[in-house]
Amino acid sequence: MELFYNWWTNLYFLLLRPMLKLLFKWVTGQCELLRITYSNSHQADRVKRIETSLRLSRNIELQKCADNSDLDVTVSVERIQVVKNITPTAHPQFQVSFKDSLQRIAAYNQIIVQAENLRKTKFSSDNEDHEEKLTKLWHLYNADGAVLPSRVGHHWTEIGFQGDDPATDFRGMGLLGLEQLIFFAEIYPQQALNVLSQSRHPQFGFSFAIVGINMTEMCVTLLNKRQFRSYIYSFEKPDPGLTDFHRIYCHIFHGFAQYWLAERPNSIMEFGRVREDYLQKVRTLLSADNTLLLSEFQQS
Amino acid sequence: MGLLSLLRKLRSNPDLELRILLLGLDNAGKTTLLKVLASEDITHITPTQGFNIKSVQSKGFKLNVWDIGGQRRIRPYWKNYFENTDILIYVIDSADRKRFEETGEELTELFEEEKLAGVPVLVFANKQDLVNAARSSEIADGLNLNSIRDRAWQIQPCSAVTGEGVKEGIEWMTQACNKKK
Repeated sequence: MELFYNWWTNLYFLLLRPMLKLLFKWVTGQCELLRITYSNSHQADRVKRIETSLRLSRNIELQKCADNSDLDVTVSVERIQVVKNITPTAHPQFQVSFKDSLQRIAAYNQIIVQAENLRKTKFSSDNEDHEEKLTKLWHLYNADGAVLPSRVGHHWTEIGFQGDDPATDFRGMGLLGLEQLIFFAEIYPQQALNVLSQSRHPQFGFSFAIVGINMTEMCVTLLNKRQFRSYIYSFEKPDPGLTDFHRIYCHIFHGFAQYWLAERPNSIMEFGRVREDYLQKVRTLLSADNTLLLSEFQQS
Repeated sequence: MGLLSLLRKLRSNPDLELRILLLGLDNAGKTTLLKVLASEDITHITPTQGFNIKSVQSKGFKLNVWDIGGQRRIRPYWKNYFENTDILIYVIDSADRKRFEETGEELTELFEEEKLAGVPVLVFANKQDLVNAARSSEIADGLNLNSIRDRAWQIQPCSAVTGEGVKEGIEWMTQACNKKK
């Protein structure tokens, strides 16, 4: 079965797709990029199709545009017009629309790079900046003004770290996990504190901070697999950034807490199953074209 | 080596399934070890809330590995996974000297569990790649492993991150099971 699938995809991408493209070009007199530009599709759908077309292109220059995070958009548009033989005067709309698409693709790639840089930065107790952030986290989630008793101690488990030293809990998510926990409480304090208090439920409780770090993992994996395209490509502004990704995180984390409660799990040992179910639900939502990755509290 | 492994393969039953329980304190490296056994990427690991399970094929055995979270809050649930365990793997962070006592206490409690009586135990002295890691002999002394009389045991220095020592541990495990069956 797998062999057949490989054989079929090879045939499609090496032979059938180029032939189809050539045929369409003969009939319409336009290359694929032009046809997508002129098609009447949603913004997100158009950008996604442009991205796919660039990625599958045999021209290295075009291919690179799909994954380049610091693309000079204006220069690239000019270059591609030359490569593709598109006369700007004959197709003025192309230049505008294509530039917009490239900008959005580059913005998505930029978010990936920035998130990965933070993720790969290991939390270090020797770094003052990291330590300051940790203290900030404590104060954000202790809105009653409780002072941090000491750098290491059992009090960290109150906000859901595993043991006495939170430094070991960021693991593969590095600084990104810390930043996102901070962002949640800084931008949406009421909801963040709600989730924290829900995590202390005697029966349906969970460890707030490490579940938060786990949600960072869910988000960053979906981001890297380009699963947030439908949403990010549909922004009004052409240049969404890292904070927009952090907002998705808040939505996903808050949504998980609600889902967890609704599932009424027997114990924390059901976390793996509930997480998997929730991820499936998120994936289904993401496969739709106009997915809004914002909770109600984020839409004001 | 080729002939030896072939003979070993012939001797063992290809359908033999082993239930392996992976325990240890939080941040010992249990999930990393599990992922290394399953040849999966280890860059995105997060603390385990609940447990993970994976089936791995190795030397004619199907290893069903249960990786249970190590945080104190989860430890009371460990006992729910004891039944029918063939091998216990206990993972220790060799560089976390401050918690040697705590990890020793947990291991002693496991040794006293009725449902784990006689179950061979493999202690992985993990994180040997770190400069301040204690040597496995030092850890074995600290845990008083030499006084164990009622089960097969082995201590194996390893680094789950670099993969060093992991294979040797698995080899000991499959041999211990061959002897047992």
